[in-house]
Amino acid sequence: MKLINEFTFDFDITGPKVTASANAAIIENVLRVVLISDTSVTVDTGRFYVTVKGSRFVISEIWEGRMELEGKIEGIEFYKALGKD
Amino acid sequence: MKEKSRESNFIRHWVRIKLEGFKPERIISEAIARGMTIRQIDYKDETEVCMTVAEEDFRVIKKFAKSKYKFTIIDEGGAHPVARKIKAGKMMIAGMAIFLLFFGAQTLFVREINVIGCKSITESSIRECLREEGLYEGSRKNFDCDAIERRLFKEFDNIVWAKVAYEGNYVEVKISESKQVPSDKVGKETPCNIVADQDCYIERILSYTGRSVVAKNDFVKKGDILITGTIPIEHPSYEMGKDDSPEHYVHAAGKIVARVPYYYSFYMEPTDDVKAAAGTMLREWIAENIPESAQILNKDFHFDKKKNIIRVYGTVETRQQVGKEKEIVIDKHKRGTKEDTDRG
Repeated sequence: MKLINEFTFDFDITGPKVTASANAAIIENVLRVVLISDTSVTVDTGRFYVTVKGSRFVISEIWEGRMELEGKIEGIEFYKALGKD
Repeated sequence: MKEKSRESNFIRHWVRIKLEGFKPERIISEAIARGMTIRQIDYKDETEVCMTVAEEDFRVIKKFAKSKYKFTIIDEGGAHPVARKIKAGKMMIAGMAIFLLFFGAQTLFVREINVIGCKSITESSIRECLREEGLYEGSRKNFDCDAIERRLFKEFDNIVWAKVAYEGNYVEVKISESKQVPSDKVGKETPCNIVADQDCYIERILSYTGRSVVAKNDFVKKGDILITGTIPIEHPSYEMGKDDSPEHYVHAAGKIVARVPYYYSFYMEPTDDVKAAAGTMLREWIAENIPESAQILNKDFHFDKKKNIIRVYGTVETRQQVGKEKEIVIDKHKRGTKEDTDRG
């Protein structure tokens, strides 16, 4: 990745940004929670919806657009919201 | 205005709530949009979610959720609830105060004194001595152990070792008595002084062992040392070190002849021959009070006549051998601890 692209990525506050491991995930730029269930969490980040799939989910903290999610992570999906580019 | 930290909000007062209603995500999203912090969101089913929020945020959430959702407080914590519980529990505070008072009383005062090692000395006399030094059951624990030990040595001649120690509010006084009380009868090898057994004027002094400390014509009182058994050591060639004992002890022996004045006084009834009767009575008094070996040098009479009785008084001067042996108690007043003794 080019340096300029890395900068753009780091300072982008409109797009979804997900850091994940097998047992935890951190989603940044969360605007609202769309769906919560035991096996998936879907959040709206503005340009995209992000769905984290897995099991035994507990949201350990949500604060200032940052969500910390604990549980067994099995997959992450991005959906483009209709009407948004 | 400075914004309150989210952490301090949680420390002050947090609540764990159960949120029940259709689409609980709406409430969570609204709270996020208002900048609230939510922790431990635990999904139960489609209409029920548990979460932890600061108490002041919870009040705001309840307002915007209106009556569409049901909130139940499951648990709460933080400084405010604890303070509230303490404030409500007045009896607990009273109990704690009593406990602290009791604890203070237990630690500040002497509860028990145990005296160990009494043989010939009675425990009550030891306790009396301790009491005079301020150590008794119920006394403050500001007594001076060293002072008490010194007092015990001073008060009781046959205590050779004493130790006062305390642990908590229990005081233990250990003493060790000598096998025999220092007596006037001294063995031939035992270090001793020759002391005057009565008031007298020294006439002649011969010391066989020891060093005479009085001279001819000196007046000495009862108990004064005449020949000492403590001999200073002065090395002619070497300087004595600080740790070296500067003296040694011998069994003092010698012969001391002295003039001893005796004062007498008695009463008699008036008779025809007062002087003869007084002479008879004086002879009886001399037989009772003056040793047979004493040589009578002078005697005088004085009469004090009253109505029906005559007081006879005067002095009898004798020449006689004086002095008795008194044991030297070496290092009696030097304090020794048990540890020192154990080390030998």
